[in-house]
Amino acid sequence: MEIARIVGLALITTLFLLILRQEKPVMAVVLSIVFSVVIFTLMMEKMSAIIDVMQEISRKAEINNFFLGTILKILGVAYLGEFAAAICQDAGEQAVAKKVEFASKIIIAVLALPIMIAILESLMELIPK
Amino acid sequence: MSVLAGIVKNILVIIILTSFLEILLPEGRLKPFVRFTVGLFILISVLNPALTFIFKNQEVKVSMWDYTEKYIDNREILAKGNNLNEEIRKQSSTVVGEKIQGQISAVALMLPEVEDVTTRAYISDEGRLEKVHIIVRSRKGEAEEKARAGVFAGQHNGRKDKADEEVVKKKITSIIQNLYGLAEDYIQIEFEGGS
Repeated sequence: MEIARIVGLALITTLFLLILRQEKPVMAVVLSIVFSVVIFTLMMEKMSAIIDVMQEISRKAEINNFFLGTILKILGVAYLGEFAAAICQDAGEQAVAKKVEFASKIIIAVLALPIMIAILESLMELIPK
Repeated sequence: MSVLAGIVKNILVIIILTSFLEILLPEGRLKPFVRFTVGLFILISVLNPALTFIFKNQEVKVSMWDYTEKYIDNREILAKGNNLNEEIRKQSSTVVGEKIQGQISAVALMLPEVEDVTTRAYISDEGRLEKVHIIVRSRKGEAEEKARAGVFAGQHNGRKDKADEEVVKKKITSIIQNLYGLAEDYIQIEFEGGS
């Protein structure tokens, strides 16, 4: 049972974090980062399975692979941004967390631009001149 | 009608796909941004087949960003081609190896001293013969005769056996060298139950 492993790991990490926060706050942040990385690595295989299925479905639905790829990139950016912001907030660095969120938003907007322009260009062509 | 049915089917798949994407969205302040992009994705996915249906062969433009996808597609095709080549090469190497083994065994069996031969041919990645390992079994009749000859003749018979084996070895080696141009070092011949 994978979830049991993750829950166990989370509980142990929480206990250690509670102790470390009082004694050594720096080490608590390091432990928090390590835990995030471990969870991310554990879920990597499952994530790739989901992506494979989604790509297969989009291929069958004749969706341009570029659009799905962009959506998946955006999802990745959002998750990474959220993780990083949460870690910064845990460390009490609200300002840094805000900057990470800001950067994530900009990157998501840049990635979404081609889709938006594609829609706009097509709609423009629909309108008679 | 079939075109419309195809579009409806595709839209259904798109809806399921995007619903699935929705549950993958991260919670937090970035959620509205991602939801907006997913919305655009739904729009373009529905617009694309509709546009293709209304204006024949006109798809939603991806402009210059589409080059990335083409590049990825090319890489995928190349990788598949390479895998296929590798598979064909492996299969042809196995076939070539089996044929060579058969040829060597057949030629060795033509020698009167040889009763049976087991050949193992090693083929390189380029499909060339690299090494040959042959296990020869001599005629049993001779061996029985030698056994009947008695204890005193034993040593003499042993020496004669060795000499016979050397002769057979030389013959087989020279045949393989002439046939396949293989150096002597790469031809390994063993005698069953002997040296």
